[in-house]
Amino acid sequence: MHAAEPTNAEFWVDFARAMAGALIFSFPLLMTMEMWWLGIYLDRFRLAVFIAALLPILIGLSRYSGFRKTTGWYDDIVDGFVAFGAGMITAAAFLSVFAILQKEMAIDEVLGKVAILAVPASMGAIVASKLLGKTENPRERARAGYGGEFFIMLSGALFLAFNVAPTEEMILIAYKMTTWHTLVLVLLTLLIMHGFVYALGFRGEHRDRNDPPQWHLLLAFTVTGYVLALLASACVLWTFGRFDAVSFDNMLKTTVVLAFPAGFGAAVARLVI
Amino acid sequence: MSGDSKPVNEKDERRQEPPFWEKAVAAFGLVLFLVVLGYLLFDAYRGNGAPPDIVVRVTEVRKSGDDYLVLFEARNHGGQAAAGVLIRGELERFGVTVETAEATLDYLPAGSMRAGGLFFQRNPHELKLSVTPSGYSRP
Repeated sequence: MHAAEPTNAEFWVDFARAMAGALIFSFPLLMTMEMWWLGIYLDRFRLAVFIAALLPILIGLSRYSGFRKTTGWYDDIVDGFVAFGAGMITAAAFLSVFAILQKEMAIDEVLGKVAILAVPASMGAIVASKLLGKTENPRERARAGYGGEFFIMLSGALFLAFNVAPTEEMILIAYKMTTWHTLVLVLLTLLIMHGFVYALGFRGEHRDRNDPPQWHLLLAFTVTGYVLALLASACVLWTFGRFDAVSFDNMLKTTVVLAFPAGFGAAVARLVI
Repeated sequence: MSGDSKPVNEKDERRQEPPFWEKAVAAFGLVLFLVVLGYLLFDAYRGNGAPPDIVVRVTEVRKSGDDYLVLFEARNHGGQAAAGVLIRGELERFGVTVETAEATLDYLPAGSMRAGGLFFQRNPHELKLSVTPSGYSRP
């Protein structure tokens, strides 16, 4: 009788898995000084927008993956907040242990640092089950139609863009690249994304039942995935203040540079989640 | 029903009700979310974009090897964070600067405090010591 009913004991196991996922996904950024600095000087309104946008992403990811089997939207919303809590706890705990948070710091500084690092941590918490070898839940994944696939791509793109955007190198690469370099990078990213999902035929690849022709798949997934990667990149760059006082040409180049890892994220997320 | 508060025969309804601790942790997460979002928005609305207002306080002067070490604390009372804050210390005798020392603080966030030290060869106790911020850059 108790086997079918989610118990408190089962929840703590799920929660431990979520915490582990939070740590795995966020420790590289927890140990990156650019992230601490972003927590200090990021525009507060943009940070608030980013945190507010994070929650629907967590809830959506819970719908398609999640650290626990869910049965409805109510469940997914509950899990979304659990993941946010796990992310905040992970970020606060490890920043304290690393002595990045100290008692003479203003609440503003502490909150900024914890909030920005709770973003990757809570995303890790919500997708923990797939990573940490819990049995798959095909029912949850089957919910994802085209809209769901695009959502998963966007989440993957956001996560990887978020991971590399803090470093100075993104800006430096964009400065160095000419228009020709940029065009080549766009084509390469598209090619690699396409190869990732289709040509290599990874597990988790989802073809339509009636198998539409390749060009349709290319349009539907690769190009849309790339547009989502560009969107995610621009969004992260704006949040991080990388678009402030730079030319349009430079914005475009930086977005294309960041869309390279973001495109990977979009392509791989469909296989992982 | 004995000892079990949930209905036993309604499997779906039973599955949809998360256990107590899950709801408790979710409520904690919700509160954190609202607090963080509320504070950030409040901060943004308050729009404290005032430039850094850095006050330096000398906390201790001690002998350090052959030199003298002046420990200081710098606090930023402004609304903006400052990067690369240059703290400059001067020793004066009869209005003439006889020795200077400098230290750089990587970041001095709004409202926060950072500590550092300046080395002097002359004894600061015997001269007029001043420690002031002399520049910063916007991060």
